[in-house]
Amino acid sequence: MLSSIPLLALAVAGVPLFAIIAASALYGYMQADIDLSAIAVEIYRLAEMPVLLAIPLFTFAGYVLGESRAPQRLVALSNALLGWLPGGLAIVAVAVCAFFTAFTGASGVTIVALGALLYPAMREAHYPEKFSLGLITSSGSLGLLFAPSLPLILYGVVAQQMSLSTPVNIDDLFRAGLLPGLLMMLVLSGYCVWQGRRLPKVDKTFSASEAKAAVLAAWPELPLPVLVLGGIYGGFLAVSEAAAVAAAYVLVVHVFIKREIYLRELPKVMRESMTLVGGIMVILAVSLASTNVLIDAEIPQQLFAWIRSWIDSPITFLLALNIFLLVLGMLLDIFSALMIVVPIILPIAIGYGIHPVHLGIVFLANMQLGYFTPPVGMNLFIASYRFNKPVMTLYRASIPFFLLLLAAVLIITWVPALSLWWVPTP
Amino acid sequence: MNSVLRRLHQVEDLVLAILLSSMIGLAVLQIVARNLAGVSFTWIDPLLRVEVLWLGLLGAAAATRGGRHITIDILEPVLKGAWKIRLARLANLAAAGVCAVVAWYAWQFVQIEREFPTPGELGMSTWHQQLVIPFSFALMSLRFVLVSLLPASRKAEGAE
Repeated sequence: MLSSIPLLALAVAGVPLFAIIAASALYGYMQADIDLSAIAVEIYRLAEMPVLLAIPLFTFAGYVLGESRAPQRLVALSNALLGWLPGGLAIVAVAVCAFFTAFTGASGVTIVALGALLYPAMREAHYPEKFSLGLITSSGSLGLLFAPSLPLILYGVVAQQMSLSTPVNIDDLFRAGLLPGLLMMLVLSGYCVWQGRRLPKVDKTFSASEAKAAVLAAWPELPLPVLVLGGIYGGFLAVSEAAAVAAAYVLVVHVFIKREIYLRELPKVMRESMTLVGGIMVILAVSLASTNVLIDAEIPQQLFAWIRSWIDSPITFLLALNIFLLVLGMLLDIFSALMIVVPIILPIAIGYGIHPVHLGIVFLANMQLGYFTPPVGMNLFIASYRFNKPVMTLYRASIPFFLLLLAAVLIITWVPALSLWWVPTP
Repeated sequence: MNSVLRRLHQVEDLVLAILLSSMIGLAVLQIVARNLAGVSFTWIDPLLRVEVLWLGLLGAAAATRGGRHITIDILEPVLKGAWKIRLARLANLAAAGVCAVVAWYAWQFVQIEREFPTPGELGMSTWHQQLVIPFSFALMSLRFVLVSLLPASRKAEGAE
């Protein structure tokens, strides 16, 4: 149904995705003789999911952080702590990008906010141009698997709408992303150390006083992970409450105390962040409708039966899924992919005995690669624009990083224990 | 015409800012009240949920104004000049059509709800809360029509 050709043509012609999905839901209603006003009932379900509150609040907090001087302070802090390692500055880039993306939700903010700091610094330290560009481009989506990233939350929201036999808890997803995310960071850091060997020796040693100064200077940001992650993992705060605390915190600290964003600029920052939220929420609203149409028409079951006739083992299925998701990641951004594709593949994956939480991590890890997979990976264009380099240069620069992270994604896919270590074994 | 539009945009920004600020404030108030005073305001949670709906849909309407909706850009970078503009007009008209249909049927839905009101948790009928659905989709439809009729924007011309 989603694959109906006229709709696909419209999508390719540049009609916004939410309109395409709405049209497909309306068409499905007509086929099933359902009154078209049912679409409003589905859209109204946005008001029935308390966890959705987290989306605007975390997004706003991320935008404020991006507009403030938080990126500078975080780079200084990581440099003081990690800069003395071989390849230290590159590892700093990896760590800061991961942290920043986790909080800003992988909307391209990372490259824009951090690239301008990290790229010149890396060039000055004699890192090759290609390596520096590739590292920053591929790190721009690195923290996706870490709480409280928006895609993790959104996967939980979508999965919760499907009344599965194994419930998908957002807290579980937050736990599940930890090791796979660290694995990706480790792989990239290893590459950085290897590159660092060939660089002129930097005589930077660890200095306790510099570290102390950097920690003190980063006081506006340091409490954030403690508040948010401590609150969620400690069981004090629900996800949406942690988002409220984060939004209120950055508002008070970065706007009112540090005054890094003037009060009169605040409505603009709010508008900017809320247009992104609106773009996501309207897709979510109409895909609630189209998902119901899909389920009523038993599309996932039919697909499962069809795939089953080709693929027997879960391992083969996962490999096929990896390929499918990589292609998907090249064509769709992560948010639309989550809302459109998860409702279809989740029941199929469960049919193969794959844990829904593991599937979520696999899905997001693949999508993370899609951010910088040619030809249309979003981060390639953002980096091209930001660093004023031809897109082709960035294509070439990110290839080694793509291969390394691809290896990590395959490990994450085939070693479910990485994502599910916290699940009590039956 | 332009000054009217600018006013409208300012009002829109203001509404978004008020919704977002009040959501932050109310959510924090609820946390503080619950943890420090051991009380919880029963009206805050349902109000927050309705605000999410309003903020989401009005944010989507605001996204329409800047051409900020999520699309698949496969053809757009390939095409040049007049064809690019024609395709964009066509795409916007199609989006306008879909939004108009959704707005119309959402309006029908609100009418039915109004005849047989469901009491909401906030002391008003749910149809008041649902009004934002036809409103935002009608606004998006209008904006898509406007964009497709207006002379080619600077963005489309300056892209090359």
